[in-house]
Amino acid sequence: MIGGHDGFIEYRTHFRWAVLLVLLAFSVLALRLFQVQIIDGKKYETLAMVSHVVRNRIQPARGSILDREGNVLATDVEVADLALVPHYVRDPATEIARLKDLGVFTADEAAKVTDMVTQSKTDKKKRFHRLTAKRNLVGSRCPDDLTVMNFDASTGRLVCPKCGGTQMDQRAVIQAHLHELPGFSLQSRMVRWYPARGLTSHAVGFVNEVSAAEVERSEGRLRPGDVVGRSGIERALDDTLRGAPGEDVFVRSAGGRRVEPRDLPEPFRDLTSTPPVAGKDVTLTIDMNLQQAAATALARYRSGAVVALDVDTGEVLAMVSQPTFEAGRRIVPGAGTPAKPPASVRAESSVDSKAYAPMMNKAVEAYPPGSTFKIVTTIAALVEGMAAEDLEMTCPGFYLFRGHKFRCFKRYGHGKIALVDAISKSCDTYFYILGEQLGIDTLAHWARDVFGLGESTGIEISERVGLVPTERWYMRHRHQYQPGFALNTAVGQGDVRVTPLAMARAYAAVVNGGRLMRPHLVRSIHDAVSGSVTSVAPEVQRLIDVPDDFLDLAMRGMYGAVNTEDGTASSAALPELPFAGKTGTAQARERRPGVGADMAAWLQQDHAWFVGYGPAKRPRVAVAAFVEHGGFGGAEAAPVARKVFEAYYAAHADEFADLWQGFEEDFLEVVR
Amino acid sequence: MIGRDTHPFSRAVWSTSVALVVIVILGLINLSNAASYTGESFHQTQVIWVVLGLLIAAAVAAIDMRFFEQLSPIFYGGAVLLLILVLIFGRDINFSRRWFSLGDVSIQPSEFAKPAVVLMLARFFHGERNPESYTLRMLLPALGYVAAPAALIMMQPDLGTSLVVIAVGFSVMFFEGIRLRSFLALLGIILLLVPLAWELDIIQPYQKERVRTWLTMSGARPEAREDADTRMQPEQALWAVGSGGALGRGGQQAVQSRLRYLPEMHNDYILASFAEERGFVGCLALLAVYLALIYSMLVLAIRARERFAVLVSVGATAIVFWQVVFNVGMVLGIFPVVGLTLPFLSYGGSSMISGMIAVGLTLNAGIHRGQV
Ligand SMILES: [Zn+2]
Ligand SMILES: [Zn+2]
Repeated sequence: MIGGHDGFIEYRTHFRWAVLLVLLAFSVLALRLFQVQIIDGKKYETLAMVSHVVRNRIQPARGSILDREGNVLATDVEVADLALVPHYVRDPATEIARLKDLGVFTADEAAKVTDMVTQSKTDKKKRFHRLTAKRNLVGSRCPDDLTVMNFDASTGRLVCPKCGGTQMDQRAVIQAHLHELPGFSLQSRMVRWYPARGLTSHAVGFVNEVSAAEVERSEGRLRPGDVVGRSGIERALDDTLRGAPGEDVFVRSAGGRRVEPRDLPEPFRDLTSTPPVAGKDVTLTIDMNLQQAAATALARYRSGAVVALDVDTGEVLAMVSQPTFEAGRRIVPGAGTPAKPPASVRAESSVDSKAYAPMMNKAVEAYPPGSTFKIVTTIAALVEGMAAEDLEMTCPGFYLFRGHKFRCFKRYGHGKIALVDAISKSCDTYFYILGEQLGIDTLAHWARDVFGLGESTGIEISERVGLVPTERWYMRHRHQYQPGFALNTAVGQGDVRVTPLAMARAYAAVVNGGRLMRPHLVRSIHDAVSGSVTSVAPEVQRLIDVPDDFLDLAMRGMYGAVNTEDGTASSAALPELPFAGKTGTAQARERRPGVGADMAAWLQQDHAWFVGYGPAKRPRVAVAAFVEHGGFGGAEAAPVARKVFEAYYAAHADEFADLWQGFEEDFLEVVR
Repeated sequence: MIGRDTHPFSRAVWSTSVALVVIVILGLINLSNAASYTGESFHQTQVIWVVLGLLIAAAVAAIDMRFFEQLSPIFYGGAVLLLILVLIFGRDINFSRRWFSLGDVSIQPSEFAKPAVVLMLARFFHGERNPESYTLRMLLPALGYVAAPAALIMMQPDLGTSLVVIAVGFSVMFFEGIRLRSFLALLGIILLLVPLAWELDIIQPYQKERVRTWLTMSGARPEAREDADTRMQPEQALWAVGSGGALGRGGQQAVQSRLRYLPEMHNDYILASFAEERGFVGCLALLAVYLALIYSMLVLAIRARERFAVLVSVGATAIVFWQVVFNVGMVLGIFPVVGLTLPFLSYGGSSMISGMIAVGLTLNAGIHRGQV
C-alpha cells in the first residue's frame, strides 16, 4: 500500500456517485416532507380532526304537560332497548340462549333474534349495523302503569306500588351480564308517556317521529328520530316544549375510547360541548275533576264533546271528545295484565270506536247548533228592537212563510207565548218570526261579529271556525238565496256550523256581563332552566255592547229551560244549586255509503246539544255538551252537562254554601 | 505515514461518532415522549440497548479488521443458519416468524443478516479482485450471497428487511465496480419481470391475493389488522406528519399518537410522532443529522486503505442509508408499507445493535484505516 493518498483512486468516482445518490434521496425526502407538512399540513390536520372528532346531538328533554293542579298529563320517560352488533356477537346461539335463560327472551323471540344475527353476520355491511334485539325492556317502571317500581330483596323482583304486579328487572339483569355478552348493549331512549291515558288526549295531543320530508324542510332544525307534536297542545306549543338540543363533542381514540378535547392540544382543545336546553313545562287549565266527569258522562255515547269554560277568564276547565284514543300506549310491553283503563276508555270499547273518529277533537269541530243558537237570535232581536219581554206570538205548530210551512218542534204548537217562555220551551215559530224580521245578514252580524260564532276563538290548538251564512255566502256557494234561509238560521239550522267551544264562549259572554273571552288551555309556562313562570292572563277579545236587561231576559229564558216544569231540559235540573242553559236538537241526517245498518240508523238521529252555565246565580262555569246524532238535546246532552256542573259544585261546595239562600224567590228580579 | 489525517481519529471519525450520539439522544427523548402516549416506558429499556450497542460498536471498531475478514464466512453461515432456524423454531407472531424468544428478550436474526451479508460480499470482492468491471457471470456467487438470506427473510415474511439486504448487496457491488450494463440488466430484470407477470396474468388471481395479503402482513404489524382504525395506519401516519406543520405541536403533544392511531409509533412509525411533535423544522434537522452520519461513514469508507475495509464500510453505510430512506419514504407515503425500523430511533434491541455494528465497522475502517 502506498501512502500519500486517501483511499483508492478507482473508488473515487463511485464515492462521488454514492454521495450524489445520498443527496438526491435526502432531497426527495425533504421535498416530500415540505409537501406533507407545509403545503398540505392544514389539510391533513383537518382530516385528522374530522375523522376523530365525534359530535353527538343530545336530545333535550321535552317539557311536560300538566293539569291545573300540577298532575302530569304528558312527560318524557326513559326506556331501554337491548341492541347488538352482529359482527361482535361471537356465538349467537349460545349467547341468545343465555339471555333466554335469564328470562329476557321468550323461546320465540330467541329463535327470531338468533336467525337475524346469524344472517346478518354473513353480510359484509350489515354485520356492523346495530340491531335492536328487544325494545322497551322492563326496567324500573311498571309495564302497565309506568309507576316506578320498588325492588323486593326477598324475591329479587320489582313490585309495583300501584297495581301490585311484580316484574323481573330485565334491565338490571342484562346490565349484570353485559360483560359476558360481547356485541350486546343497552340503549336508552326517551319516549313520551301520557299517564292520563285517553282522558286528555285531544287537548294534550300526541307526538311522533318526524318524516324524512319534514327533516329536509326544517333546514337543520329537526333530525331523524326527533319527535314533533302532531295535535293538541303538543303541536300548538311544540317549540316551547321541545327545547334546544345540545352537542356532545369529544375525540375518539383508535380503541374507541373517549378523549376530552381539553386534554389535547389546539385546535382540538377549542372544541366545546353544549348542554341541551330542556323544553319548558306547560301547565294547562284543565281541571281533571271536570274532565273525568265529562268523559264519564259522555262514555255511554258513541260520539260527542264537552267543553267547560271559566266564564270570567276563558280558561278551558274541561275539553273532552268521545271516543278518545290513547297515545304512546305501547311504551312498555304488557307482560302482565293490562291496567284498568279510565272509564271513558272502557265504555267506548264496546263499539268499534275507530268508526267514530277517535282522533278528531269534536270540541273544536263545527256542527249545526240547533236551538242553542236562539240565544243569539234573542239578543239580536232585542237590541235591534224587534223583540221585547212582552212580545207575544202565537204558535200553531208551524209558521207559514211564503207558502212554505216552517215547523215548530212541538207538533200542535205552543199557543200564545212570550219571549222568556219561548226560550225556555224553545218555540221555533217564535224565532222563525224573529229571524224573518232580522234578516240573515243581521243575524250573521250578531253571531259572528258580536258573539264570535263562525270565527276563530283564538284558542292555542287548531280549531274549525264554523260558519254563519250570509246572503252573499249563499250566492257564492249555492248560487241562490231564499228569504227562508234566514228563518232556518234563526233556529240554528240550515248551514250554520258552530263548534262546542265557540258556543260555550258565546254563552259565557252572555252571563259574564258581555265580555267575549279568548278561551285558553295554557295556564302557565314554566322554564326549568331559568326557573321563571309565565302565567297566561285572561284576555278579553271583545266587549259586547248589550244592555244588561236584555242579557237578563236571555238568562231568565235559560233558567226556565232547566228549572221550570215544562222547560226543555227540566229532567236534568239540579234543584239544590240550579244551573241554566239552552237545549238544541239539530237535524243532521247523514248518509254515508258503505256503513252498517247500525251506523246508518245512528246517522239518521239529530245532534243533541246543551249549552249552559252554573250556578244560575253568579255563574262561574259555562258548559257546552254535544252528542253527535244523540237525539233530543234535553234528554241526551243536558244530563251530560249536569254531570259536569255537579262535579264543579262538589269541588267548590264551600263557596256555594249560602249562594242559594232565597235565590228562587228573587230570581225574576235579580239574576246576577 | 503522510497524509492530511495523521492521527487515526480523523475528523470523519469524530463527525460519525457525534452524529450517532446526537441521533441516539434524539431517539431516547422521542421515546420518552412516546411513553406519555402509551404509558409504556420503552425508553428505559432502550437505554440498555443504546449502552449495549455503543459498547458493541466500540468493540467492533477496536478489533482488527482481519478478524472480520477471516471470520466472515462463519458470521455469514451463522446468520443464514439462524434465518433457517427462525423459520422452523421462531416465535409465531400473527402469521410471521421473525423472532427467537430468549426469555423476555426477542432476537430478530434478519437484523444480523445485514452486516453478515456485507462482510461476506466484501470478502468475496477482496478475493476476486478485478481491476476492470465485473461481468454478470463473475458476479453470480455474489448474487447468491445476497439472494440466499434475502429469500429466507422474505419467507418469514419480511419484505422490508429483505429489500434492504438486496439494496445493500447492490450498493456494494455497484461501488466495487459492477458494469453499468450488468447492473442495469439486473435491475431491469427485477423491475420488469414482476409487473409484467402481474399484468399479463401469468400470476394467478389467487396468487395475487396472496401477494397482497403478504404485502399487508409484512407491512403493518399483524396485530393491528383487526380493526379498521389501524388498517388506515399509513394514512394516519401522514395525518400525523402533516399535523406537525412547520414547527410541530411540541413535545408530548402529538394527537395522533395520543389517540393511539399509530400503534407502531415507538417502532416503524416513530418518525410520525416525531414529525407531529417537531414539525418540518425538526424533521429537516433530523434528516440533516442522518445525512451527516451517512456522509461521514462514506468518507471513512473511501479513506480506508484496504479494499476489504472499504467495501465493508460502504456496505455498512448502505445498511443505514437504505433503512433510513425506506423507513422515511414509507412514513411519508412514497413507498408502500414495508415494515422497517428507523435506525437508532425506533425501539428495539436487534435493530439498535445491528445498526451499531454497522457504524462500528466503518469506525474500524476509519481508525485503523484498514491497514493490515
Ligand atoms: Zn303497576
Ligand atoms: Zn212553538
